[in-house]
Amino acid sequence: MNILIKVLRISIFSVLTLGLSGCGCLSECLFPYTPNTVPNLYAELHAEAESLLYNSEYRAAVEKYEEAFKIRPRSTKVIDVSYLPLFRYRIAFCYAQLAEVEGDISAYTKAETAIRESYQTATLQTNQADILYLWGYILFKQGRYAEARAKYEVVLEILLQRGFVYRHFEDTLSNLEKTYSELGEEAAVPQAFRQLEERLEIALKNRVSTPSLEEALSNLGRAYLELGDKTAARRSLEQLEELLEITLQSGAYTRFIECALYALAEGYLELSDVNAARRIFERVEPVLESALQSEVRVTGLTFKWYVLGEGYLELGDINAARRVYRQLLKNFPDSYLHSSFKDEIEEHLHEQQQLNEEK
Amino acid sequence: MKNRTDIAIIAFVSILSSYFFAAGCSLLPGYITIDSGSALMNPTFCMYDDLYFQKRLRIESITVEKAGRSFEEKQRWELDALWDERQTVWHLEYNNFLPFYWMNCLFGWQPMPPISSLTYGEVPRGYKEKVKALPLEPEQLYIVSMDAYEARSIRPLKFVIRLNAAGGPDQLEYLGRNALFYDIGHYLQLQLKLQ
Repeated sequence: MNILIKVLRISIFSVLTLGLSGCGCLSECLFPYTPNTVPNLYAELHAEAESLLYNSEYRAAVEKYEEAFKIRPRSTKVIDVSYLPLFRYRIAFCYAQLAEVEGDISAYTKAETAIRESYQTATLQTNQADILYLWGYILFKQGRYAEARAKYEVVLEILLQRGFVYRHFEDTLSNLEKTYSELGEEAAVPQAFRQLEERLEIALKNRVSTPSLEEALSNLGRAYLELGDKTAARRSLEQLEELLEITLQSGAYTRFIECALYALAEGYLELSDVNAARRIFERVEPVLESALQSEVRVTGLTFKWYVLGEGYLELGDINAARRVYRQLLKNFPDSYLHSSFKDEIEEHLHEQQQLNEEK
Repeated sequence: MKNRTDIAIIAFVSILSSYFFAAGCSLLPGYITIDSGSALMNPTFCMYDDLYFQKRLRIESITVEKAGRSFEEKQRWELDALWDERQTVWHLEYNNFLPFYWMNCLFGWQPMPPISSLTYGEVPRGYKEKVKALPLEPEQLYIVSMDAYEARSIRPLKFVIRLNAAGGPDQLEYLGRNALFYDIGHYLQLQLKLQ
């Protein structure tokens, strides 16, 4: 028996030792591979500059960026379109921060030169929006409010064209509001909103729903909620519901529709309209079912089921949440989300029990 | 004494096994780019494990999709355009032998894919074309996703082949480093909110 145990131990050690070799030496000997790593001064300078930027060492960062920029790789046929504008953007950012942190006002001039160059080379609207956002900031900090307002208004115009699909939508509105305020034009913000709404209504009249239009209305509703204008927020949400109904009636699965439905339901929840929120959550389930059957590849479908369950939990509807949980188990048996979902349901049940006992 | 030895052996085995499992199965982010010397109609894709494109990774699979749109108004595709649907126009995978997969998870024994760059439509030895490559069309938006042996692309790369005035391919525009900006840019933009 002892001999058998010894043999077993030795075997385990042998396999693990061989495994160790497999991880390193053996696999490299059998399948040699030389990584394509060449010393590259440009890459080193760029990496150093990024690191310095993260550490808020703007003067050192801008020096490295400028050096790297001089020796950057250039190609005329295969082009990364956002490379050049965003490189100049970083330089402008460093100068703007230098001016602010060190009080070196002359750095604003350099920041403006860099941001102008950045804008001139930008062809993508998303890049243009980012660049103008920084440009507006540089102008605002110099007290040139009217010029700053003009830049932020162009950002807003781009947002309108792109259906407000921009990650700094709310910050842009906030900055614009502050600029109007400095200019003594407080009433201008709601006015700008109304203009946007009018243009959205024109699009609505055509009765053609697109993901960007849906996101536009969802963002507008959220912006109104932030401003505390519940009536206007409800108006935007109802318009969004009308628009989504057009898409849902077409029958086929449309990409992103479930995201728009979630946003709508969340909006109604913020307005404390539980019935409307429930009505919308109930529309999400068949959409997710059809997404499962759809030939279109839908990303993050597991997570979308999970979010739906969370929505029901937020409504306090344990039965519906459990139903969604069962669907998640059935459709995605390998998902890592099962345990946290189950915990959330149990936690919610426990909370409800406590509430009942207190009553 | 014997018990202590057994416990020590069990602990040692457990630690080593965890290490092997982690070494074999953990994935890092990877970044896709297009080789600057590529042919315009047959670009060469590479994947790197760093943002500055210094160390190439061994490619396990690649998917190229063509963006479709349901909008009635047809506009020139831009790389930051929003799209509704995708059609896979090429999918290539390293021919993974299942027992190797388990060996890899346990001991890191899997022979690694040898290729660190793939040219559109070409099938290197050891790879299998799951979706045959359709010819690329100029002025169409394509989305590239890749997996490498050690990494998974965190964001797809998008490209459009542009035409010149004579109607021939002129330039290949792509959006790759924007992925790099997306993260850093987000951090920078957050600092620009006026107080």
